[in-house]
Amino acid sequence: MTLRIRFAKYGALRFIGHLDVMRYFQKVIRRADLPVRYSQGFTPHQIMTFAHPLSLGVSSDAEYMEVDFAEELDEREVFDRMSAQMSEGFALLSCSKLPEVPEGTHRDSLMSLVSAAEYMISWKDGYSEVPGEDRLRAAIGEFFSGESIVVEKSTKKTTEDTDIKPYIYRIYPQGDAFLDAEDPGFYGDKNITRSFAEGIDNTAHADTFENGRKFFVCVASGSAMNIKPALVTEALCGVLGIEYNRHAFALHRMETYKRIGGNLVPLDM
Amino acid sequence: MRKLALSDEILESIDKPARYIGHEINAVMKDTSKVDIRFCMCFPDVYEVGMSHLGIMILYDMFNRREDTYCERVYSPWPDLDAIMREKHIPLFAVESQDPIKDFDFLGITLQYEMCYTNVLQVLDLSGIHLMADERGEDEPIVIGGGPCVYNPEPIADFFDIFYIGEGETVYYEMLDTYKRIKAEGGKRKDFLKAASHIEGLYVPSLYEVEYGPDGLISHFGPKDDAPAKIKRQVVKDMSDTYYPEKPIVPYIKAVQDRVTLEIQRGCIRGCRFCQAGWIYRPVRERSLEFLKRYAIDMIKNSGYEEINLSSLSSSDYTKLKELLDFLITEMGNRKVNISLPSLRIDAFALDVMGKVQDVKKSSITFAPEGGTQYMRDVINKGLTEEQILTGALDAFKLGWNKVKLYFMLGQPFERDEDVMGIPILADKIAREYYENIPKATRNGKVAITVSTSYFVPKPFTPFQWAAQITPDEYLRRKSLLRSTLAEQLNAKSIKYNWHDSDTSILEGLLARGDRRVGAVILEAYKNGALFDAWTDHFDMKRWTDALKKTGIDMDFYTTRERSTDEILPWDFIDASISKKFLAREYERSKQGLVTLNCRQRCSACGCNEWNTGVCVETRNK
Repeated sequence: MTLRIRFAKYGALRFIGHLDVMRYFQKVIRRADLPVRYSQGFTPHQIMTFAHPLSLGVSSDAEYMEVDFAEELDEREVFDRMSAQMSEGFALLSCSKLPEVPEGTHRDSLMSLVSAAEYMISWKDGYSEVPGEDRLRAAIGEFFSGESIVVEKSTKKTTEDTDIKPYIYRIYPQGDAFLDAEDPGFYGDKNITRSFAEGIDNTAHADTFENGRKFFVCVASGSAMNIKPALVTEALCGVLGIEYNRHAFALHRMETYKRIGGNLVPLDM
Repeated sequence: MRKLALSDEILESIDKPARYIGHEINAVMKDTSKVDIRFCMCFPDVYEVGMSHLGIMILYDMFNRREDTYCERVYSPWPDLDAIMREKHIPLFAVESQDPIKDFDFLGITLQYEMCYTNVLQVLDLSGIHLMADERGEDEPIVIGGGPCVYNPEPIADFFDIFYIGEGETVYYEMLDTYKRIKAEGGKRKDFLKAASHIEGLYVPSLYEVEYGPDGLISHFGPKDDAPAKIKRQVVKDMSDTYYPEKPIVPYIKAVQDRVTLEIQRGCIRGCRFCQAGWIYRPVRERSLEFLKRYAIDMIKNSGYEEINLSSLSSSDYTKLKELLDFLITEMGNRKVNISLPSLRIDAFALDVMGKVQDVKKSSITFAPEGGTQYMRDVINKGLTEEQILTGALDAFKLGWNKVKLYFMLGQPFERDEDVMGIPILADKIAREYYENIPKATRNGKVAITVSTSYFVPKPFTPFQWAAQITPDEYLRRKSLLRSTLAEQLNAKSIKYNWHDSDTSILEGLLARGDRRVGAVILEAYKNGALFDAWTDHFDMKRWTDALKKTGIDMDFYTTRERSTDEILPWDFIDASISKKFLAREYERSKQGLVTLNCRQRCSACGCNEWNTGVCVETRNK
């Protein structure tokens, strides 16, 4: 039995890295005494995979993992037993059983499903100039008015000029993509499916700031093409005429998407 | 949400920010307004090293069992954060509450190795605590040192208010009660220190005076007024009825010891003459099988760790090891928990157990003969014979192992060139066992033997406490002799040689056997930028040689000089239960190459039987 689990990462634990998150959940499962499946060999490992690593310092309401269990269990029970072992900074949000795959075949890895991620990007208090709402709206308009948005994109080996416009799927200033779709500040794909996992507020674990200024952006993510939200923020700062300082922004991942047909669909659907 | 002492901007700018955020699984969170005493426990090295230390975990648990006390933790900030804290004047803080250390009642620092002394000064400095104890005011924490280095606390005596000599489980509660009482009576810092000096095991260095003769030797050491002349080392009498953490703290980042530690016994029966731990933790005291079974299961359940490590100086001497391992192999196997077994003497039993718990193809077998010839092993009283090593190695080869690690020391007293040359000859004999007895068809490649040598540092409360440390040049000569002899061996290509750096070992010698005057060198080296001296990448000998020059301290006086057995040693005021006469007798026997039997074979009357516990009682009952 495989469960896909959605969780939040926030507060002080934004500062622990991806490998440590994996180690954390392995220990949560051991403390919860759940019958997970192990790999073979002298040092057996739990069969557990994660969707998309989160950068250090970024909070999230949309982390996903899959865990293989050695026996059939009620997902509610797993959710409760794991939740009882969590510490502040992590919270389980949902837990669902994946359909079995026919014998001899296997399911696409969780990591390979990831196509996009959506972020809320807030101006922190006490840093650079915070733009007014209208100015931000106009800047987003200007940002998207051109043919392309060329930025310097670095990979592990090289730095090269890349047009990131095709990989910014939507960008908007209000916070509700469906209301904002009518907003002149909205640009991009209006048909991204909203997550309807019950009771999930996808900014619940984000930090809030007095100045209240923020924008939202959905970018290509995953192994094929990965656009860091900080890259978009830096480019937008250029349009706003604000000197970019990476410490001046709080990043929060709201959703992680897979692609079904032409549409982006949250991973918990 | 908890407020952190460091801003997001700082946390985003430094390496491994999780070192400083606290709130790990099983960390104790208390309402600071509801406790009387705030104690901060410090391991003066980086978080991942400090979090691996069992002693702090035991004391943390013990202190926090008291409702009136909140014990928190602090570690040395890594140089990246150190620089930021100095630049921005951010005071050092405890990881739990994130409150400044300066607001605490106590700062307890564990001293596990001498090369951490500059980190002690860093912790005090960043906390805004005066480095010199005599400059500290009423609003500053009482600074206490503990751990193996306090068996000669004199080089760091000026930086500490109190040293706790011996095992922490015994008199800390009494000290905390005394602190509360004195505080309630309106007493001052000096009133508390005076009262503390009358608690058995606590040494308040400011209440003692030292005088030196024209030859530089100590001419007088004693209490200034009514403080006790001798400080008695503390010993836990019943290891199965004492504090032990059921819920180990689980760090978010990987600590050096990323596993549950089960201390199966304390002390050692062996009496190896070079080994300080072997003497200062006497007598050997076992924890009961029931105690260990219960804690093993509870700690694994409460932590979620996937490995358990049996800890002791010589696990093979634990009398119920077979029963314990049978239990653990079954129980831990069911839970997919690995068992790690350091310090096992290689024999048929050990190989059988190791074959069950590790992957033979990947793991290695380890011998620590410490000396290259039988003569040398008799000098140091290491009861390991060449036959035992060769038989053990061959048995291991037959079972599929082909990696062997060998540990030796260079520069132990009475070592001759032929003993140095004996090291590669022994390694070669092991390789021959492999190639001569294991048929080519069943071999798993070549045999891989690793020889490591360290540079011997004589330590207080050992029979070698009077001995001269060899000079760095002599150490390097012996190292080269070993290397050239190795090159001549038939199987030289199967043997790899690693040696320890000479600079840090000679400094360790200075700090291990120095007196109060050596404190000035440590302070000066710290001012020169010395920090994380135990880390090769951060160590710079120049900071220390400059400090020695400036303070006029003669390194050779403390390191390469052989002391006379009637000299007043800086640590003579400590009553470690082992008589000086006994140690002198052992030194003499060493000179003659005479072996002394271990505690289970025969009591040698070291003096530890005054505690009436452990092996001392065992033998008497027989």
